Amino acid sequence: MDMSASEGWRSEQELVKACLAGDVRATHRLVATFHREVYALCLRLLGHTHDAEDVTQEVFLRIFRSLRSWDGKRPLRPWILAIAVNRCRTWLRKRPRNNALPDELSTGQGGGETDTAWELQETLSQALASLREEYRTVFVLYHDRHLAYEEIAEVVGRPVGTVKTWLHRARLEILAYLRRRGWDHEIRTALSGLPELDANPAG
Amino acid sequence: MKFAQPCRVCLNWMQTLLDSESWKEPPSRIARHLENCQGCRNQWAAVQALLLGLRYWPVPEPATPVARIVEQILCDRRERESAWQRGILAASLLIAASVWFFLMTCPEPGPISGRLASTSAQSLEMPTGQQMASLSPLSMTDPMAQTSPPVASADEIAAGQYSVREFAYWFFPEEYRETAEAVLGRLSSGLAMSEAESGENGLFPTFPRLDQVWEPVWDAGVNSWRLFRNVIPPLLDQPNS
Repeated sequence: MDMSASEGWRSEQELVKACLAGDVRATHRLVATFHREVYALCLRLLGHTHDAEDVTQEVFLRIFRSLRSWDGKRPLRPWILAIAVNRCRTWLRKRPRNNALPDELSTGQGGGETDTAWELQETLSQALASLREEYRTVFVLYHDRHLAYEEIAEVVGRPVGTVKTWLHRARLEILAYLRRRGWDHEIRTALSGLPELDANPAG
Repeated sequence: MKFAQPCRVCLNWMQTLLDSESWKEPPSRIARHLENCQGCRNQWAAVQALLLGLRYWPVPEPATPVARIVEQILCDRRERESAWQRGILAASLLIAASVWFFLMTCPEPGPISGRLASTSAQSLEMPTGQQMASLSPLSMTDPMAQTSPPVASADEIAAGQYSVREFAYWFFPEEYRETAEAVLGRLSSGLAMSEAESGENGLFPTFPRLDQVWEPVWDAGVNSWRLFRNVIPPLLDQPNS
């Protein structure tokens, strides 16, 4: 990830070193680099925008408290995402069960999407919320954060084989959820209002 | 709700598609199978929905600005630093208070100091044998200790054995006193012998005999105590400037 060489930090190590030395600009840079990513991960795992905001702030406090323990030989991103995953896990354990329904799409509506797209996103969010915590984590890290299997293994602290198994099961459970919600037939008709799928997706 | 399950070949192909998150027309072999298999066809439709959903799965921008998070981090850092400082200050005060309490409640040095002070409050000279006998820490609990203290003969003093007996009398219970005296006496005379026999270039180091070191040790202890007693409390009593 680009650490803005123009501001004098040519590597993650240099940026972290500057942060540890109390450089406010470096601190700002580090937060700005990972803010959106950490928030997106928290939102996917927690399903609530307000919870995601709170946990994101907590995550950054944790990051800066334990920045000295970061191993400079390893990439920074999986280490940060691992902290975010752990904080989300802790938050989910503390959260009352009746607060578990996702609200993450409430802010996405009205963005120009069709009703079908909106419905699909909502179904997908609900399917994600129905998954076991481990399955949800690897699914989000792979499909939403686009981490490699090895990076996911580092984040969740499990072998690559376990990660692959969890991801496979997560997909099957989500597909089963989509089929239960009627997304298993006449898909072409239902998706007629959406842009066509192509072989080279953007992003 | 039970679904018609997809076949293994289709399942693997669909997982491969999901791995790459790219949509592809099914190969002819799979396409032919899909025409005839309801389970695989439904699963294929769900996979397409999932691929599409993943592509149009928006993440709203975080509402908290970066600057606010940075401010929280800096604030947290300051609080943690001041917490450290407070901890160090509290520990220092605790140690100072402990030292002060010790100095104020223990008027004289050594384990027998309390009773020594009660009889000779101003004097810090080395006590006599008679005084030490009455002040021995064992004298309060050991009835045998109430017997008369060891009396030094001129020969014992010359041989350096008197202080050994005195030491055993002060610091060992009655039942161990004889053994302690014997062991210490042998040790003391053995050291003296080794010094006499081997001299400076011998194998054994030259230790002073017990009676030779006792008075300097006592004086050093008393002087240290005087130093602490006279220097530390005035420092603690000084008002904050």
